[in-house]
Amino acid sequence: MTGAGNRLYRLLLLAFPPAFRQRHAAGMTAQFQAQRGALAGRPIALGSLWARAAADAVWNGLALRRDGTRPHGPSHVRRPGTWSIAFFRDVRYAARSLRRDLSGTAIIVTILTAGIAANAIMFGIVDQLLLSPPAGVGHAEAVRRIHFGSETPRPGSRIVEQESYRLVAAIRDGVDGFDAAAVTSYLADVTLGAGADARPATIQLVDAGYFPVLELRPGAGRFFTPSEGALPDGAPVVVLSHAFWLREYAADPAAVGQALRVEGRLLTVVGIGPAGFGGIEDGPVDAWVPIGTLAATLLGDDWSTRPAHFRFGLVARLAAGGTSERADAQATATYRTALAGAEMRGDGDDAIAFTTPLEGRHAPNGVPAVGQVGLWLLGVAWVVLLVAIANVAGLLLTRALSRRREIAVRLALGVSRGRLLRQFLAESALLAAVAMAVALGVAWLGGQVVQQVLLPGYPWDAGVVDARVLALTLVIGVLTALGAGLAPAAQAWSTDLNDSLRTASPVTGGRTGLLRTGLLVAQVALCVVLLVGAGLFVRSLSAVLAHDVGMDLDRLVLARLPVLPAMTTAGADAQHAEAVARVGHLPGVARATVTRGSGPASISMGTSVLLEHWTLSDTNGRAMPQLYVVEPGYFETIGASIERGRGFSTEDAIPGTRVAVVNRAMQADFWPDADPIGECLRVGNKRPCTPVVGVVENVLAYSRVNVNTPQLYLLTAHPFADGRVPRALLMRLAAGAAPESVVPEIRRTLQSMSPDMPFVPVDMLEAIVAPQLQPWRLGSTMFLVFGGVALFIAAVGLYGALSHAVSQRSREIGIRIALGATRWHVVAQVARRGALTIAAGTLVGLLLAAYSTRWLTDLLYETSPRDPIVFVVVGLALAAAGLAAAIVPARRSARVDPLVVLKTE
Amino acid sequence: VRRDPRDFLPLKDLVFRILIALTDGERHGWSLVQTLDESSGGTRLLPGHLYRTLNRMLEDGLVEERDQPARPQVPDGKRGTAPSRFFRLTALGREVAKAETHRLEALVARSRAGLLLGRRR
Repeated sequence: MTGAGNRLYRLLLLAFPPAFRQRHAAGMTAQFQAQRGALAGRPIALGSLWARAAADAVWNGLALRRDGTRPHGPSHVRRPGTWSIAFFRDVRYAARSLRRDLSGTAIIVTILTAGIAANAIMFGIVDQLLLSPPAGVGHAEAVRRIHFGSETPRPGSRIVEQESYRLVAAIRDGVDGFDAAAVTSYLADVTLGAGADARPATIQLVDAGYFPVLELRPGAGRFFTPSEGALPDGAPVVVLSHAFWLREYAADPAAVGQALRVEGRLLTVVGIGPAGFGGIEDGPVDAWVPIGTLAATLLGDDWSTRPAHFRFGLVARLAAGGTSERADAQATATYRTALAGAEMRGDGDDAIAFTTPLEGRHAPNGVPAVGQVGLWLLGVAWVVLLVAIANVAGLLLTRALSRRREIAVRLALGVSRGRLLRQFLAESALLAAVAMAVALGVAWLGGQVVQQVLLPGYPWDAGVVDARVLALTLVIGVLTALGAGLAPAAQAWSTDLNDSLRTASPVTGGRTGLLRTGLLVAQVALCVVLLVGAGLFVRSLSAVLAHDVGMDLDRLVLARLPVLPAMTTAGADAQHAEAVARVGHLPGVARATVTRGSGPASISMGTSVLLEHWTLSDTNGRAMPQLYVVEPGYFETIGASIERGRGFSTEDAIPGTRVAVVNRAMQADFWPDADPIGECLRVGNKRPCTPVVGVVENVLAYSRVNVNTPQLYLLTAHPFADGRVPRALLMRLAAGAAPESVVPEIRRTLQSMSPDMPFVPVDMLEAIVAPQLQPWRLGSTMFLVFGGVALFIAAVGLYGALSHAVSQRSREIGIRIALGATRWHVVAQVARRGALTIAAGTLVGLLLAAYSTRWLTDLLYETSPRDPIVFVVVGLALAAAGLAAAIVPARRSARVDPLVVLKTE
Repeated sequence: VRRDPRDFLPLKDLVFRILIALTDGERHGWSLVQTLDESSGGTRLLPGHLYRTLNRMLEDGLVEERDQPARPQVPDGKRGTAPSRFFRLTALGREVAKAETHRLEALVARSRAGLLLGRRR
């Protein structure tokens, strides 16, 4: 952040003349850095400082450049002829004329700010999400991630980034299309410290080659040496992420060399990652540890030899001159050989390994939904900008019309039309420049809000405003200045001297009137499209929330007891039994049960299952059911209802008993026409049979919206159940118990089970699956914000146009009233014009929306892109906004006093 | 060419305050800012405004700069590394500050007299 902030500030200093910059840039940057430091942790104050500093730099820089064109000294003698003097004269004149109408100027700046900031925010977000590699990675274009899949994917199979260590290491060592490659692990949730000081963190295990492959440079200290990463036992060292260093050590350089307790091991901090770098995974990494140092602690002693233990990934740098295709072919060959050799996994023949670049848009399972919504919102931000430009063009046009006399007088006095044109462009450029400076501050703040509130859990670089966003803002600023300034400039160009000098006749009709009405209709239409989009996302979000997930997410609490070193399967069972007994006594907990695996809302292993008379080929084209190993009482705890047969009973829990419960989706897949109760299942393709005793409703598996996954439930007593997998503790809150008070109590109870207990994560299940709502939350919130902003802008535009019309026509209105028109007639006439504009815009907008929203279909959930309710509500909202904007000018027209108006001319 | 200090009067507020701040000894930009707006913790006065003014004062010969401080002067423990240029008063600057002080004193005296008259009435 510090480095990026300084670079950004140095860009601002380009406003100053080179000689001045050379002399003072260092001092100025140092001062600004100190001023930013004084406001650290106060985002609003910091945003305001940035905005003020931008204005300060531009203003003083330009003033110095202007002074530079003058001879030095107190007498301000002007040298005529240089373009910069003319430029500054234009700017000064523009500034004067804008200052004369401060409230109008403020409105225009606000509108432009909204349009520019919306773009800066969304571009910054999308850029980090999809377009840029992670911050700090050197020559990122040659870095590749490796993915694993199969040539002929079966339904439900996924492309994955993780494989067992042995396979990944084989590819690391066996592909000469890679210059260098490094093994990485999954993101492990670990405990830092111990006892009352225990706190959670996310670490990644990596080869010593990880940082060199990414060409990262340490923010402080150093990275791992090859000997520290050597297997089997890594050295007790750790590298902290820059963000973690800021958070836990307040950026204290003395952190390097200190000891940090990670999962009970004392590690020495040897270095800090580069600023802004939070790893290359989906979530931010707090620290990196050599694989050998903690793998045995986290994954068990057989971590490197155990097959089907998908915990390791690979990142590589392509050899100079090498292509992705060649690396892919080599990696696939190595992968297949390794699969065929030691692993004995049946699917080696069509297995493939392939590489993708680091940027998010190259995710092998397609652009993530959040990224797609982000791209849409970037488009929406452009629409907001268009609305803003159209609006400001309209307002400047109105302003130019009311200055027709002044313009005509100046023309008559011999001012060239080119000069007038320049002046109008200077005005809009000045407006755009001010709006840009304010917008950068707003974008900085808004970007933080979007990153932290709407999209938490991503490895964001600090803030959205960087050099690329700044460059984009500049481009937008120039476009805005041109777009908004050209119409009034053209109007001034074609001013007819005779006409304008002679009279203050109303100028509402004709070409400009049509242009302004057209601009208004366009604004209203674009507003409608945005609001329809917002409505569709809101409906989707509520549909997702209302979706029956088969369990009471808001009553369920999930806890994961950490694996203590050297704990046996029996020990883990005993520990969990004690935990169930302890939390079962808490008044806020109604039931508690233990599940094998990571709990109900996680991806579990697919398990191959055969019916009695099936052979392996019968499973082709069928998804493997997700296996859940539970205890009796599981369905009662999660609140899932049994649809046929029965659930598990305590008699089933005698070791060796074979019974199974399947869900509705598995029934539909395996026994589409028959009753599954009593049918025979060969779990893991093994005999003897396990009879099905019941069918349970579909329950949320890994995805909140895709509960239609075949699921198979076995008891821990079943011989197939794996005793080694991690366990999770699932609790159901008692009726009326408040999660805010019960969850901490549960955590305290579990944490106090043993004095050396690592940090116990305890969360509401609802919070665990909340990230799945992000695409819709992001879409509905930002569409609403942008749609609301656009609606506000359009309403201001309509208000401005109608007020202008009323004031221009006050003479005519006065005459009509004098001739006997009732006030009601006058009001109706003004209101009719507003209503017609709104109606035309709304109609165009609704048609446009009906046509364009079908591209949104994939992002919506159980919502038609032509949802009639949304269209009707948006139509009504526009009518209401139009009415509100028309009512004030219409009332003003009714108050026109014929005596006053007719006397003035 | 020696210039008459009175040529510079009246001084802009910021110029006068910088001159006063520098009477204690030489300082660099950030420590100046902290002195000049203590009330806001030094976040009101921004670098562009300050350095433009300082640059003008350098050109006018009211202050001069040194690349290395005579005595290292670190404002605030942690962040004392970056600034390298230190500013100090010239003889002319000191004269100008005195002249401005006299001018203001005379002004205040007249204002006081006016107020006394007003109170008497």
